[in-house]
Amino acid sequence: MALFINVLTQVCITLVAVCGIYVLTGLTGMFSLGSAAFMAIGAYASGLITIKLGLPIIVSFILAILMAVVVGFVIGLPVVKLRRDYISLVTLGFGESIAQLLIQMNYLTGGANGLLGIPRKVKWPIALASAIVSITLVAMFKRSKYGRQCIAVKSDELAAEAMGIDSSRIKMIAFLLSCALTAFAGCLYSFYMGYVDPGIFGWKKSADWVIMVFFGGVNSLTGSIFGATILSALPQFMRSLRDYRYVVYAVMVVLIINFKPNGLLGEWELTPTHIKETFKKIKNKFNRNSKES
Amino acid sequence: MSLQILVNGIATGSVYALIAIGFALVFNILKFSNFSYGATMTVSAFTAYFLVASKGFGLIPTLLVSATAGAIVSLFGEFVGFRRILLNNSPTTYFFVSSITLATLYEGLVTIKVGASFFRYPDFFSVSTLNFAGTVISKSDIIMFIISAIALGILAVIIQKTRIGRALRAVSFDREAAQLMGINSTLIIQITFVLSGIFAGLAGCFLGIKYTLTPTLGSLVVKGFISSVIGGLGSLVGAVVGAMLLGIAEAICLKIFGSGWATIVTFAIMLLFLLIRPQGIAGSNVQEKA
Amino acid sequence: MKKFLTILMCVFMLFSVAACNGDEGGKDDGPIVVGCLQDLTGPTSSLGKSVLKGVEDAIADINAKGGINGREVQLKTYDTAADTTEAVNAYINAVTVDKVHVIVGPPIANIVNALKATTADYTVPMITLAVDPKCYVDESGKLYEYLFCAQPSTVTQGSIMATYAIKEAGIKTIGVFYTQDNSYSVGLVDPFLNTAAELGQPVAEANIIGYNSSETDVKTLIQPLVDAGVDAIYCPNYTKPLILIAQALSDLGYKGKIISGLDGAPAFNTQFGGDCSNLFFINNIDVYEEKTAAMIASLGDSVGAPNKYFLGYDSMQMLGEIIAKVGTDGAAIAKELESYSYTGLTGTITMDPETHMPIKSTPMFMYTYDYQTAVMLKKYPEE
Repeated sequence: MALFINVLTQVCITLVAVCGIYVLTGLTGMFSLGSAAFMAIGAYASGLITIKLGLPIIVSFILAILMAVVVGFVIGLPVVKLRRDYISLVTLGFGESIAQLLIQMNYLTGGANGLLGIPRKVKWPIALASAIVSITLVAMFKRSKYGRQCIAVKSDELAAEAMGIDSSRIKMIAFLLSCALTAFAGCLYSFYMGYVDPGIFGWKKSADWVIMVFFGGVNSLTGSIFGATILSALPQFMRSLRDYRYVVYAVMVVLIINFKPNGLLGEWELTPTHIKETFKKIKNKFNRNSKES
Repeated sequence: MSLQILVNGIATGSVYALIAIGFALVFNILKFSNFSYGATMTVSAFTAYFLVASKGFGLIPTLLVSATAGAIVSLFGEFVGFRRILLNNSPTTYFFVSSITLATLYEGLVTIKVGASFFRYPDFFSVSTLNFAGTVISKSDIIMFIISAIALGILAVIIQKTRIGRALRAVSFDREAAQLMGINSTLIIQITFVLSGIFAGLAGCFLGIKYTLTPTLGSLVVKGFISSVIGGLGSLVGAVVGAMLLGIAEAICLKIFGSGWATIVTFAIMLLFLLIRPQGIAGSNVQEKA
Repeated sequence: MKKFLTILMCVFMLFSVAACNGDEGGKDDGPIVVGCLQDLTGPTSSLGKSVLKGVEDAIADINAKGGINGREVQLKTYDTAADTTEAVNAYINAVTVDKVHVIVGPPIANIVNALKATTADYTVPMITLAVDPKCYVDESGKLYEYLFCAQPSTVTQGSIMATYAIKEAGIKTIGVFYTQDNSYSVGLVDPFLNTAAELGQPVAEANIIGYNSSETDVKTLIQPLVDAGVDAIYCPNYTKPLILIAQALSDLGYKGKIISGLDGAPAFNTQFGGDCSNLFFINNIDVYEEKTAAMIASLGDSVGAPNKYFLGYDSMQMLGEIIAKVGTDGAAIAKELESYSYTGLTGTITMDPETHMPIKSTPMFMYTYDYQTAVMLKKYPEE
């Protein structure tokens, strides 16, 4: 049971981050390899604020997220103006630089030893609640006019601009939202583990998240959540396979990308309409059965 | 003193050049960054090690085996990872995802076989360094430089002078138009991957000699990416020039700033470059279609 | 509707599989279950695999002699994959699902740091090989009850290396070249510097160079030390960077000595493949001692880090002795372990209840190489 709870908490934290990546890559089509750096900022900042300044946890979370958004704004300025391929490179550069900076400032961050001594306050209820809040937030974003603008920009930027959408502005908004969400995930992470290891925030982690989004369905929030859940939880159950884990994982993803390029769920979203339809169908079936008997 | 730094930079740059060329080849044709290139390097280097080097053969057989292995793996990657995406005309981001996953796959396979410890190619040279004008140059660096230059020369000849080279250039310019003119685009793409794979093999082998063989050798593909961008995505000459500049710039930054800050400064320089001259040094004749 | 139900089913299936992976460990008269938590994949995997082999061989030897008090010893292996989150999951899996009685942990400080808080929630003693003293205490300095170390700390090791270099080898000027993004390397620097200063040969600030493990151009980075003409360069790095450093120094024509930690021990010599006579390294085994030498010979190439193998072996044997004495109750084992004294292949390990690490006078040896043969120079502490 303890293992299940732990895996659940970790999956929820990943879900918060993946929501952010969904906004950035799924909705707006920007492919970023530096997102893990914002998680690092969130984790270190919130941990340090609580340890050094003794502020309550809520305050450190808010401050850390604000810090990440400010950094995101600075980075975002060039990013939103560049061509697609360059976005991945620039974000990669920023990601690695930030990770490097965090190791360099070892008087503050503990350098290679990591940040120790964070109170472990985040348990599964908080993680689950955060995941639900983030999902709701992103779902609302998607349905709002911002979401629609993002999708327009993703499909065809020139046409979107011709329709009067300020593409730089909406890209920046999406970028900042994703920074905030990943930073939030970072805060949750540091207060869950009690310890931050600097080595986990490289481009490979950002790439992992992007793969989760694509795996589940790049255009679908439900898909991304589904993808994130499966790909996070799966390695836990393949523990007996040890070395073969990554091979199985990679084969699975390659198959999905090739045979179902829109991800497992494609465009399909879990909306209240769909749920209502489902229940209606079940009810009808039930009524039909009872009528016949 | 600075001559030594320059020499170090050129040595590093010539290996980056091999990485950049293979990377740029695929980018020209398919317009995406092939992140599995790094892992291809790793696989070919290890294959060469197990088949050849550990049995005591010299440098040339090792390079040949490595290049062949690279070509095969690259072709396999194209078939498994990229063919369908190409046919489905999916947006280019799918290539990224597919390539990164392929990279994980290759690395995972190598790890299983090798156990994630590291190996060294046996010393191919008896005396390993030369002293020249007060600087120290290692023999392996010189050989690498020469072989890189030869390989690049051969590639340039192929691209500029042969029919296949012309077809390659046509496909990279506009795939559909080339197909309409009777060029078998799929075959050309396969040939490109094979060429790219050969370079991957060479680069992997050299990296293995220089830095020991580990399954994570492939993470140096990022340098190739950066070189291509500096040199201008879409230009092969630019990629080589970019790689050299990157190698030298890195060496200088290392000297001035020390290890941690050098990475940050290198990225800052690259970013500046992108903002000032986004088409890179050599410029690109690829127009961004609306 | 189909998709909705499919999703629900998949998710529930996934989690239910996780929840019910129970096993028979934890009973009082069944087999004794030992968990081995190591990095089996990732950059430090050769260390983890060596420890694992040591534990495996120790268990095989114990079982060949009839087990512990007639009970068979079973091994469960977990891969922490150099990922702190994975390590926590593996630990919880070991303790709650497989119900291991004891754990032999990894020689990596970051992993142990990530695990230590979780160990307080359970009563399973864990012996690790991470040499950073901070791994065993919480922020207020209080020891974690069930966490122990079977290898002398960075403080001891760094201090011994400095003492040997200055007092025995007569080295005056020293440079330091360490991996700044690796906590093991960083942890070995300060004790060395402190001892060097105490012995009257402080290291100049300009001669202390830290570099990142991902850096490819070692020659440019180490050039300043070569130019400064220091007598010796202290390189407390893992084996792979050490090989690159030694290579770079030999290419640059450096004539001084290299001082390294345990990672300079065999199999460094075979992997470097050249003349290692300028290397001083610390080791915790006596390679001349009969039994040790025989085991090293029989291991051959199968183990990447022989001294980790012996540490794993000794840790398991020590646990075996303790369990034979007090049974499998976690609290009883921990109590016995905290001041236990075990004589094994790595010498006599006596645990210090104040630090949960071996006491300062646990033997370690300084070695060098004669071309590629290890030559022992001095045993510490001095008799």
